[in-house]
Amino acid sequence: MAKRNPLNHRFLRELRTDFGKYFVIFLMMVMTIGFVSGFLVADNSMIKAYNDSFETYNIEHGHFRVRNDLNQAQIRNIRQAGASVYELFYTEIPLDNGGKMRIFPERTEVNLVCLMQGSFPKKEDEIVIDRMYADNNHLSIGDSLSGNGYTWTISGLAAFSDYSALFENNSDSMFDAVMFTVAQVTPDGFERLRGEGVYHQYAWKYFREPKDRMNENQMAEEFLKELHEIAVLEDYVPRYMNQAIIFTGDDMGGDKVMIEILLYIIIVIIAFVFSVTINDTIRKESSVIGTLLASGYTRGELLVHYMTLPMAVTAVAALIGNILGYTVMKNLAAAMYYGSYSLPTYVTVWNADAFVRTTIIPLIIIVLITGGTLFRRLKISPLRFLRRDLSRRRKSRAFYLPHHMPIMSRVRLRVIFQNAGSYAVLSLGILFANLLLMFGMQLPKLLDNFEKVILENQIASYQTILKLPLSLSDPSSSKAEQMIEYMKFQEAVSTDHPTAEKFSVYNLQTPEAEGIRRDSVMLYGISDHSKYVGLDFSKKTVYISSAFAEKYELSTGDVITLSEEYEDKNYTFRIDGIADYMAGIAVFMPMKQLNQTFGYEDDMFAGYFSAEKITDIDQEYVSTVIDLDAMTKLSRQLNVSFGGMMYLIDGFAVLMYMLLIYLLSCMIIEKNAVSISLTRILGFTGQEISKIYIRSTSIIVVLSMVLSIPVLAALMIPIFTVMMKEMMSGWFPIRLDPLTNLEMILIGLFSYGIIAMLEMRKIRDVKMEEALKHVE
Amino acid sequence: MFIELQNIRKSFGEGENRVEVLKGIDLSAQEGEICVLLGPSGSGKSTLLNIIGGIDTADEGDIIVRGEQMRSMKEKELTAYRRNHLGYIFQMYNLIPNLTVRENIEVGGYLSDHPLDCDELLKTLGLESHQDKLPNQLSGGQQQRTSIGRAIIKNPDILLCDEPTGALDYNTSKDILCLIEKVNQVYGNTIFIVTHNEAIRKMADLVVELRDGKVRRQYRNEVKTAAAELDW
Repeated sequence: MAKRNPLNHRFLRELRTDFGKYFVIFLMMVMTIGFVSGFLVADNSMIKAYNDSFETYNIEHGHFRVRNDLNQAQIRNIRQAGASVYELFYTEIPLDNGGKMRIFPERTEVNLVCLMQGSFPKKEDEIVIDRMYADNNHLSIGDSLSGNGYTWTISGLAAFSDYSALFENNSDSMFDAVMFTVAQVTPDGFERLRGEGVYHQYAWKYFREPKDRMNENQMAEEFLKELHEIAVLEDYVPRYMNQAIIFTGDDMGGDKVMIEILLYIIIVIIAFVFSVTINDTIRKESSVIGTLLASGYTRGELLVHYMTLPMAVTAVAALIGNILGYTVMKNLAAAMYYGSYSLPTYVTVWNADAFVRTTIIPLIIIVLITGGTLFRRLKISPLRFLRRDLSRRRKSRAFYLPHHMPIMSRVRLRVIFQNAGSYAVLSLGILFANLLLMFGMQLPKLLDNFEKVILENQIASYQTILKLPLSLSDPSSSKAEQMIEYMKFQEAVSTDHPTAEKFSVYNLQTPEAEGIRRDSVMLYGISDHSKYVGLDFSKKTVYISSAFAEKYELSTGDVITLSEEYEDKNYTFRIDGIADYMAGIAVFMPMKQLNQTFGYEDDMFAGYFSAEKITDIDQEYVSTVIDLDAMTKLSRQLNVSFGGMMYLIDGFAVLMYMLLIYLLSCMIIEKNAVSISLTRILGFTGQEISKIYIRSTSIIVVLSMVLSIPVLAALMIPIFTVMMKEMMSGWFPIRLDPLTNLEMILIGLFSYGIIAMLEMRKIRDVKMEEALKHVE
Repeated sequence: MFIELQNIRKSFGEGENRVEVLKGIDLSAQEGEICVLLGPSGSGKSTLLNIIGGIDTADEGDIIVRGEQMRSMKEKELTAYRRNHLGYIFQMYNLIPNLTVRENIEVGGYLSDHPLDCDELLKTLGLESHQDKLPNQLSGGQQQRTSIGRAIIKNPDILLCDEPTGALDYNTSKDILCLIEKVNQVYGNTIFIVTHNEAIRKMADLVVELRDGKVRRQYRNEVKTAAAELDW
């Protein structure tokens, strides 16, 4: 029978003695592992649900819009081109609450709807709306929704498979689940809305499933050519370019790396905390270790002995963290996804990868760091352990401190240097906690700031973008036809509004680039002597917006290549200057130059800048009106998506910060228990003792907090930049708010204040017998 | 009397495990006297010293220092008592390991409004050239000198020495005893020395022999022997 090591009896006793310390470490690990495990499990399950939804809900391969219904011949031709088409007609109703609703009739073949709550509409005044829009607008089943004189009763909440991200237009920089929703009514319910104007949109599905995205791209290009032959298109969006469908898939899992890094940083910090604890234990038990080694225990046995407790704590924390991850925390992460995207229901799936990342890798990190520390510490001879001579150098020397410095300052400095290892871990922890805190506190401020910036430097309160007659860009139309069409257009869109100023506009795309979401670039052609755009076009002709310059790191003299969205056609521009405009990715040039570049007549225009809304033009020709509300869509959605998560991150950071400070300062007090006890015997008051030991920690905490701010500010801008480039098209200025930094310091000080009070109690609890024990 | 102990009783443990360590100790010392508390291990001498030092409390009895009763003192007053009146010297020196010799002494000086001059003291203690060393760089004797320096820099009325030579060799022990004697002569402190070294009784004004928690014998030396002449 294998002999049990009698030293094992110590484990439970040590756990009882140092319960507070191990509990705090355990708590930190359970929280972190639970959160990360929950996130990874939910992430994986959600991604599976999203990927499965393509088949489950028969998601389109793309859609296009035409002015009128396709006739049977056209449908036949499309089938011959290799795809079946399905009607996906819709109408849009402005809602009384200021939002917009895109209403579809019941879908039975393609882009099916996942009902999440309630029932599908049965009556013509019943409606199913997007679940997320309902959440954001506090709507629930049975509530009424009205717009344009119609009223519906919400019968159900659903996820529309082709709108997992609620992009109103594919060119929008961000989806908007606050002001925009999709909805489904009965066929009769849709019929009664016909008078509101119907958009004739069709979804297509290839007969042959594309092999990959590249193949899908080729198929879409060929299909477009065929479609051009068959019908006049108003809109064409293949699935792989449809942000409403693919944005979610592209974004999901994007935070995974960040979350994993968060876990590993915390585990490394905890491993260092264990190392500090182990160092402390070895120092305390040096004579015991010396005796055991002298008695014949091997270093390996002692190494295993001292590592067992950290390993056991990590293993149990990982186990409980995983259980919490699969039960409670998973819902938290899923709620975050459901707060951002309109995803269908999901089923939790076992994630072996998450188990490895949240259990095996943390255990390996703990083994490596604590094992390394122990191995190094146990290398000295038994005699030196017996003599309590543990320093690597034979005799450690005191570094010189000027004698005229007040004694208490010197003592504090010595305490700081004596505990340099613990304080280094503490500083690292504070740096990391502040990184989380800064992230959590600055992002909402960035979004607020963005709205302010837009308000301050928007070109005009309203930009009315017009729909140009398609024949103007149709090479098959004759010059005369184009002329007539243009004259009709000019008449329909002429306005008497005193603030209106014509401009021309053209949309191009930025080229594909690794790590950057493709941007739609708005090219403005500005009238001579513009009242709205104060750029001097006499010498320079091409300006890019400062947002464009900042996102793509462009400057004057650089050359940019932009391309047509659906054609293989590129345009190259040399940047002559940067226009101070942060509200969008834009290029400004004289109207005449823009028109010439794209083959229009010199006086052609496509929109109005105005100080007020223009109402006297034919609304049929209005493509979109860009006002403050439209421009702040991005920040609004980010606020909704991240708002809750930011508070979670803030809370987590503060908690981690407090636990870490508590843990390490307690260790420092324990390490100095004999000195504290002695100073008490000598006649120092509790306050004076606190001044030595707590103030030392306070100095480090405050210094770490204050110094971490500039370090983090320097780190945070690139972090935000990379994050924003990856997750959004468009741009907003990344300026850190100095007041928030001050708030962070105040939060830090307040948290530390609470810990300092606990430390004072701990110091009070150090008995004078501590020093006397050493006398015996 | 400068310091008076009346019927001091102290026990540890409870029930069957209760051990009475001090069983009614009475003694009194005058200002500037050296009092040696002698006795074998377990006789209660260190416990008695701790009670005099206000770091332990008696179960019964009272200590009166300059007419002030310690029994009625609260924690704050006891701290003030230790701060204003006491200096402590331990067998194992109990120096603060991360402070230099000079800083350890200055920590004692910080507690007094009128501390002795540290440079002077370092010279007196023969530690001038070691003042910037850490305790682990010193010999036992040097560490005990530092500990004496820390105790006397605030010029306390009472100096409590718990086995001050217990961890030292013969020559170093004599050096330390000479130093304690010199401190007594120069500064006039009342000194209590706990020891089991029979020879040290000869340098005392008052000798108290303890055994089994009781005073076995208490007497004053008519003629004291100089520390330098002690032999054992």
